[in-house]
Amino acid sequence: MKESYIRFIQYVLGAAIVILILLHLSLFTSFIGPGYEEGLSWETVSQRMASPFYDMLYTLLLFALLTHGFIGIRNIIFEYVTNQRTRVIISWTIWIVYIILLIYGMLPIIS
Amino acid sequence: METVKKVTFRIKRWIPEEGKFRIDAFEIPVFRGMTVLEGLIYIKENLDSSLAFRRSCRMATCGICGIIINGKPMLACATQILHLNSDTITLEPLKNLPLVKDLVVDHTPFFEKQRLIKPYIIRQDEGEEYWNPTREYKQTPEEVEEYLQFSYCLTCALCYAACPTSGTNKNYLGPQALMNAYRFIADSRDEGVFIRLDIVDSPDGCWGCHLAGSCSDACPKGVDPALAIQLLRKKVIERDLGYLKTVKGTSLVSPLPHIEGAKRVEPPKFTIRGAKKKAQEILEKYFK
Ligand code: SF4
Ligand code: SF4
Ligand code: FES
Repeated sequence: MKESYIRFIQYVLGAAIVILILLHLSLFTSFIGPGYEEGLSWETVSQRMASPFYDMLYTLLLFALLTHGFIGIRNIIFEYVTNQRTRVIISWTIWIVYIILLIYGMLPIIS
Repeated sequence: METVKKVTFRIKRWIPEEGKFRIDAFEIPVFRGMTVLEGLIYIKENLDSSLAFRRSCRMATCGICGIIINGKPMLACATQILHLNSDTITLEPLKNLPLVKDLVVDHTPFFEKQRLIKPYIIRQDEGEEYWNPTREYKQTPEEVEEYLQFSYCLTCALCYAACPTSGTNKNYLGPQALMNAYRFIADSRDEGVFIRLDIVDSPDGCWGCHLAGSCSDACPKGVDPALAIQLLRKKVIERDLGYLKTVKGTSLVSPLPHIEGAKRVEPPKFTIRGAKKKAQEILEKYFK
């Protein structure tokens, strides 16, 4: 993949994360939601887990944060590792860990 | 000239035989308007003839006298000692470049990187006219404005020495080469935008920059490489989104009317053997 595609995805996800986090915080606090304590109660959380809207919101947030974070880690490592072959190996390792974590994070939603 | 005060130069000298630095201090008499380079010349002529440093034009034009003065990359010939407001001045060789001796560094990696981005006008209509020009390419004052500040670069490598990314990643093209790529992309006569964007679109190209801006801060000519790198990124994204289609450079203007006795100025000969053939091969690869 071209480097510019990866960086473009990074920028777009950065903007998306700001919106999603604000939405997440608003839904937990009294701004839109029931307030912080009630928002964290067992009933509220279990109710939310059953709602497709929250499933969607948190899947998106998980995807955006993980992708943005892993692209960031890749960029930092690439600054110190300049050998192309090592870079390819590191890239693959990073993406495999990424996929595993993504699936792991989505387990509660899938199940 | 009247001595105003005495100043100590603490010079961090690279000793190649020992593979380490040594710090030597020299006290020099300073007159009004005296530059750091003149201080170094004074040391060489009067105190230590073995001191190595580089200079040529002595007027901030050739860009070879760059050193680190009191922690900042500067041109020795364009820095007045009294303006530094200090009785002790530390001098070091430029960072991020291989050391040769004392204050002298090897600029080869810096120029190699500039060469990679093809710092010349690329034309698709190259032919006899390209190699043996008889006329000029049209360009309006507004079109010149697009790249003017970037053409002031004197390849002094101060930005390269100031860049933290160039320090950590030896493959990073560096502020000057990236800025120079944008300088040619922004030139209305040039048609090599896609070639150069392919070169700079990499983690070691325009995406490696941290936007710290120390390159722009160090530049003695007021060039803003950090800005050029952001403009390069914009161009790369525009290319990906399909905004940048075919790029046509400006056309040739008609030759001047024949003037009796006027002689045609010959373009300089290629100094590197095989350079013309190599340039033709590159152009053929992309345009044929
Ligand atoms: S802005 Fe970019 S090129 Fe300039 S010094 Fe910082 S990292 Fe280097
Ligand atoms: S951009 Fe400025 S600091 Fe960098 S090489 Fe050119 S003149 Fe020197
Ligand atoms: S000697 Fe030429 S720029 Fe300083």
